[in-house]
Amino acid sequence: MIELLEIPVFTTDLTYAEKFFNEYDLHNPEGNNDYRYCIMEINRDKNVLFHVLNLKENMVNVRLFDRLVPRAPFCMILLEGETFLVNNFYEFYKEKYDSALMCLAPQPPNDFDLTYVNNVILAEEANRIVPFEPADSDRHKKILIDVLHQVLDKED
Amino acid sequence: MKDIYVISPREEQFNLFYANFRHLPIHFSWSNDLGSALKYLELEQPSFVFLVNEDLKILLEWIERYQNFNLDIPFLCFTSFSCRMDCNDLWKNGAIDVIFLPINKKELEYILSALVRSVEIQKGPEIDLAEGRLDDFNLIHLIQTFETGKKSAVLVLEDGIKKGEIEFNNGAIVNASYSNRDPLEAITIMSAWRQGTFRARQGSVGHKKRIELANQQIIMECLNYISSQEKLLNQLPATDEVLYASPSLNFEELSPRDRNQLLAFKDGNNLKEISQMFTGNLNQLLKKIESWLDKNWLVKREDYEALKKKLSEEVEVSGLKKVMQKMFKKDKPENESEEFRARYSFLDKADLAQPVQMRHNEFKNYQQLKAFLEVLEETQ
Repeated sequence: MIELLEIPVFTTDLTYAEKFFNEYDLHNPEGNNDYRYCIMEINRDKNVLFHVLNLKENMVNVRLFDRLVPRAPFCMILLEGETFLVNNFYEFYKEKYDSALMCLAPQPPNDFDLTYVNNVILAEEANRIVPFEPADSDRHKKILIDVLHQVLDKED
Repeated sequence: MKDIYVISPREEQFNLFYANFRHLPIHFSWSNDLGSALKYLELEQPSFVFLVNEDLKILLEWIERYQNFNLDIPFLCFTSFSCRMDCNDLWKNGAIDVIFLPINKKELEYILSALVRSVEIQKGPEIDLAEGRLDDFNLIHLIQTFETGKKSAVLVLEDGIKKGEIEFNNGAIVNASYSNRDPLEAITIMSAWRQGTFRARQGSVGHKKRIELANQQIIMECLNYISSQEKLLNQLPATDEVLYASPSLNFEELSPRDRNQLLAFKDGNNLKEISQMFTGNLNQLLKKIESWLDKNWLVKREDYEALKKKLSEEVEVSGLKKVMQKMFKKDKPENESEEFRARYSFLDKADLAQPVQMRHNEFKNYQQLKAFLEVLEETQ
């Protein structure tokens, strides 16, 4: 049986997420405009399932968040696009969920203003920032290793 | 917009400013070599020059060459923290400030903002193009006027505690800000303001284009917003009629946002007052008020008084029950037992203070995470 690790990934823009996951096929089930998923095969019996979610808080999305976020070991958010969208989303997220949030930040130069991330999101002990090199083809694995280390270190 | 010329041997040092402080009204330029920079400085005349070098000796040489050019542009020095004891020469040679790296980002932002302000103070106040009352000219009129005149300016709108800004570049709207809203929503919200003042000032236009829509499309969005607001207001009670949150409403069962909004009606409030106090998207709030009226969460004065009377009668009846229970109930032990405390520990204040709909993390399978990590590290 294949063991799955399910990780919600929030994004302001699905086209950016498509670029981020470009090595993997992003599936679009039943034409949902705010949801994609992709499967990263680690070996024959271990796969990672990324649920790529638009962070818009509409009714359908929030229903999905409610099902996925509490059961995931952590969530990830792509720091890209309009800064205020991410900031507003976190205001909603912290009211409702306490799952750790890993902020994936492409290495500078990058337009994204990290002031709020540094001052508010990272003020929560469980949350972390994970820098990555956008051009690196192995970035997904590197990010996962980095994040898993951080989560497990905290748990120990 | 102020210009700052950064001279640093490495691009990462320039990125310290360029990548982190793009939200400030500062345009940063960079050169990795003082010689080539000096040629441009005379033409560009930036407000400040930043000389960044970790090596104090080289920095002093740069200052000497810079002073020989007689540019009359103030300069700041950035050097490594280890040079802090020997930096007196930098001050003596005319640096207006010496900053040691690494530096906290917040602190650096404060220094940069203070620099920009100091230039503004030296140059005196910005020129006001126009000012007036929103009762006479609403935002749509103003957008049309700016577009016709091809003005580059910042339009500041104020309505009581609410304040927003719209930036124009050659008559086209390029950016807007109001209460953390996205630019288009900020404009549509402000377009419905019918009281307050506006002021247009020239000279501090941020050129970061954040709105892709043309002015006409923005005006259409504003008109849609205004007409849907009028439609909603027609469906609701008169704006001066006082509405109350139902006395039977349990505020603890509501979401935090609904709870805060409904608490404004707890002791009665009318839509006029609420719309003046509310800083967000009024149409969304009006839709909510409409649904609350349907669910009887909000009631009119006569219904409120009737409900309150009914509830107080119920409380009186249950008071008799309480007396009976008290008479026949066993005395509670003075010291609660360990078992009692353990059983009801979930009633700790900290737990009760959490929002009602909080979804706690339920993930416990850390062994699975370890196994994934091992496999990932093997396959790398």
